[in-house]
Amino acid sequence: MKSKTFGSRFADICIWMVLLLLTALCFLPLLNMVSISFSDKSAAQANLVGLLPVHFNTNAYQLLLKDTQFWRSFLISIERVAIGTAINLMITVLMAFPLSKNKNDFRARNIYMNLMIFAMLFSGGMIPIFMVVKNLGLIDSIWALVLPGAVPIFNVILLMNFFKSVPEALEEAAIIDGASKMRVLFGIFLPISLPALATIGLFSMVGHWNDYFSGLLYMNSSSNYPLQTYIQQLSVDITKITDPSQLKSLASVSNKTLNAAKIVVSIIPVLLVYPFLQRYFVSGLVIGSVKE
Amino acid sequence: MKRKNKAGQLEYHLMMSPGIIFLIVFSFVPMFGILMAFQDYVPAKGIFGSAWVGLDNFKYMLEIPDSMKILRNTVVIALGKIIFGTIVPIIFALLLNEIRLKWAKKSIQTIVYLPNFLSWAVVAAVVINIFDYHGPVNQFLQFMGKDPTLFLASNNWFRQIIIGTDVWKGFGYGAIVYLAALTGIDPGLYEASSIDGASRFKQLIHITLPGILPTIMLISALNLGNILNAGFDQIFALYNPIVYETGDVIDTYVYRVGLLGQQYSFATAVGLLKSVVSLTLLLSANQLSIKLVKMRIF
Amino acid sequence: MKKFLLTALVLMMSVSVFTGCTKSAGSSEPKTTATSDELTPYGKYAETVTYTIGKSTPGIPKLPEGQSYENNAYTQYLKETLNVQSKDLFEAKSGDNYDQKVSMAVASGDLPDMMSVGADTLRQLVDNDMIADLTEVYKSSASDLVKEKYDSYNGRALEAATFDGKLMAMPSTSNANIPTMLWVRKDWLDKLGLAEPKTVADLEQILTAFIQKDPGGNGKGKTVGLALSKSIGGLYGSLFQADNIFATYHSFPRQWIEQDGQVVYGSLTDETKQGLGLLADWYKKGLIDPQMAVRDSIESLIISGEAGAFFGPWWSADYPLNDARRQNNSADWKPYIISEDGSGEITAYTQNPAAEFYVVRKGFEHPELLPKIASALNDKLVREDLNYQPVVDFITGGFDGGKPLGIGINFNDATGQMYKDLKAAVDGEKKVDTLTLDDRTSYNKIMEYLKDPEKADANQWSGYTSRMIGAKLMAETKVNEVNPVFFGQTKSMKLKWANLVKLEDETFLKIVTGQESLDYFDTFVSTWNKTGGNDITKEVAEAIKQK
Repeated sequence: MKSKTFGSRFADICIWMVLLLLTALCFLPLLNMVSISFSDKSAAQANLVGLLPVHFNTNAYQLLLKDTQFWRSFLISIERVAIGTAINLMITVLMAFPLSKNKNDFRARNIYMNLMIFAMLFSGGMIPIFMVVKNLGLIDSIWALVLPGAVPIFNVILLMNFFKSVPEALEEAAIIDGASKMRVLFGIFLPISLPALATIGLFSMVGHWNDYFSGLLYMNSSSNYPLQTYIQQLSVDITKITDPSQLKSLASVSNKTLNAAKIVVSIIPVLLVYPFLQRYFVSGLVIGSVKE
Repeated sequence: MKRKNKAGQLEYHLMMSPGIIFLIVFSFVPMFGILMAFQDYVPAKGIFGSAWVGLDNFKYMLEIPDSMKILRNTVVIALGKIIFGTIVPIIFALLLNEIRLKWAKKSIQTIVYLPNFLSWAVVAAVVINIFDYHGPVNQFLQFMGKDPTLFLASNNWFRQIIIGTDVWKGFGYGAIVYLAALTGIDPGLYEASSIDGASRFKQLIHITLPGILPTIMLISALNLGNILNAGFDQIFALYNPIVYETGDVIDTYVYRVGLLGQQYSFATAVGLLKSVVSLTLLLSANQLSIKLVKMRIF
Repeated sequence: MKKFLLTALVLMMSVSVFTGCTKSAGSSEPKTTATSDELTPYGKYAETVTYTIGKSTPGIPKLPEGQSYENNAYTQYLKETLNVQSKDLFEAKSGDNYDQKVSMAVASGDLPDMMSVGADTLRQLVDNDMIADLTEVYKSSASDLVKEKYDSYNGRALEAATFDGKLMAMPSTSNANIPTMLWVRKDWLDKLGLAEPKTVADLEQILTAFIQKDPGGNGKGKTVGLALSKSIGGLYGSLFQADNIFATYHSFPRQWIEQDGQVVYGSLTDETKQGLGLLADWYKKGLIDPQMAVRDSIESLIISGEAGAFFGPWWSADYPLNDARRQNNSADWKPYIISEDGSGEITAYTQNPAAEFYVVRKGFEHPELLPKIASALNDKLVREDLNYQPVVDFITGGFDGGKPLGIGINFNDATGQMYKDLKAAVDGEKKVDTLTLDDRTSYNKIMEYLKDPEKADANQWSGYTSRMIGAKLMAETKVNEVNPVFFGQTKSMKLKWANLVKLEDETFLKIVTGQESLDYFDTFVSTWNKTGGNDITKEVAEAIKQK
């Protein structure tokens, strides 16, 4: 009996150690970024900064406040998140409802469903999509960032599955009262699916905030870059540098503390919605658990 | 009654229409670009003026030595991500499940879920910083008396770093699904086995693992469709010409050759082949999951 | 029915989408609307001409406050001199991001009026008939100095942009960076009482003395004789190449050269084998960095004072020796020219003179604008308008990315010219304010250094050593130039070149470090030929014939 307690306790210690190690691994690289951003410039350049700032100061952040392009990109990202998420949610709700009906209720349901799955799995590729966006005159506008991804097919399927679980009796009662489908959707289904919508919405937000590649593709003027595209420009590819004049200019411009500050600030909005995310993402996965 | 039903149908179509219009414009119309795969596409002539070459682009794919290398890189990296991206979250979930302290559990979760919500642009900056020639990892190596390495420019390390950082970013979040599955296991089973004197390890083998097995199977089946997806955003943000040898995957190759090298037709052909293979895999995965765990993916 | 309608709709839309890109093809060349006065290099337009460009940027903007890519010191200058205004059709960080935008522009047929492209894209644009013939406007609208500058390459620069006798682009030039020199620790020579090197044999003696007597006090066995790059040689004008050694055997690794009327790849010749043989011998004797195969940063070896010699171009004193000097103020690196017979006359291969190409969209009404802007930026602005204040402020402020078109045209012997200008200024024969801004900075450093060489700081030392010693050596050494005959890419190269280069890299490194005997070179040559090299050589010969 005694040895078993010992074994169990030993197991507990091991478990704790592994967990703390994993947690530290997730945390420390980010902490290092934060300390660099608050450190003395020369200390950062000389790689002396570990987990705590060296010669704590806020110079980098003061410099960042004056960087108009950074804040412009920041605002573009905020705008994109607002518009993009609104469109995503609206379309998700509108599409998930008819699709949650069976074939008898909505006769074209399976055709639509197959179209969507096809669209999810096949793509014409970057160039044709680019040409469409360009011919619609969307290049350099915020719409190029939100419209091509306006239909989040995966989210539609998630919400569709959630709608399927709503008791039919609720809807029937309303229909007998003479309510239109639209009224049923917005009056009955929407209120009870708020947690699911919050989940989907939050994921849309994070997705829009984090995407850097479409900015690179669709923005011709670098002043229209969203924030993550701007951030992606920060890391200089040293391996492509072949002549020393480039190397010298690199040394004079690469400002480690300022770059770190930019990265830290770009994470802040994610941290702000993070508590909400955390509350909802478990339920998000539950609505995702699809049934036969 | 019939009229009413017809009005209802119309309403459904109306609800579908905004989304369908967007899909037509941004998904279906561009699919005509796939035709390029069977052409020698010349931009100045457009898709209707370029010459048709049948399957030449696909044959060419088999001829060049790059093909094998890129396929190998893609599968090795994707498989690595799938395997470690499954095992690590399971282990983490199992360990976390053993912890009884509520607040500790909560804090650990809060921290490890976070990286999942950062963009690859940001994570790449963090990774480049950590693995820099003078960065923390190399400082540690030097402290241990080893020579520093340029990790991101080393063909011996690049894949490990790609897989490692992907697992790093996603394992906490990936564990959620298993944690949810763990809460679904009937506590009565544990009580009964405790009375029988089963050790914690035995409980793990005989109760916990079988309990979450369906979830593991489902997730693995889903991942099968990803075997050719090595992660464009991540590799694009981290690779450089020196590690093309080990780090160049289908998506980056298509981007570089097709877009930067302007071999539009060839790149489209490679992309198309990839889509077809992925689709086949995903459909088999769907069948597999229906058979194994009585769940359909879609 | 509904399904049919849907399909029809999709088809219609896609037709309109993809025909959008055919508009530029086949359009006939419109005559320029410029008057004969406006066609002269600096003829000012009566009405502002707005032109679109593909703008290659340094990534994060480095412009003065209040200026933008479309409105800054340079665009303002062009507006004042030529009455032209740029508009960016797209902006992207130079490198992959910029290439992506160019590719998108080509694919969608919507080119900016002017942009820069690489050699491959140039070829494709020519094949697709998307860019304008510049032969006439180059004659009428490029300034004499710009023409002179191009001509200093003996036709090699413009030839790269000429197709079927038509000039299709104006290249940025890369001026000569040869000869590279042997840089040696003069203070070590003095300490050991050795004479300055003149021949390869001298160098061998010096290296032997360095590693045996450890003049730097690095500890026994810690001093490295010659620092050498893993690539061994063949990278033009770069640091740590052994090209000077190879050239004494008349070997030119990694270059396409003509030998007995035939095109050969320089890495495969018997001469290269001999060069490798000597290096392998030196490596065996310990004269070359024993850890060269795993060395990540040769610079740090030099900065830390462990190495006694390396090959590098004239600017080596700026980089990496500036840091070495900062570390140790008595590290006295000096450049020398060594040759087989000690005559000081050497052989060297020349560079690819055209680095990137500036093209004009076919159908642009003012094709003459490219040579005009190129002339304004590369002639007028660096001579007559040298002291144009907004640009002076821009440069001295350390800003970057202002020029709407980054086209840079220089004399082939620009470095030698720089030395002569500086020397004249130092001797009081040339007024300082006629020097370019860069030269003025150098001039100040040189004067500071000359005041008291003993106490000069690292920057002053670098400025003096690179400009007054390195560049002087360049200007005054007699070089027998060997012109490589091909720089482009052939069809097979696209697929096979990377593997061949890898084979070449590994072979060179293995032979020098003794992992393979010198006989392995013959195996390498036959493998190289078998795995695609033969075809590529044929294609190269073919391409040269076509020119």
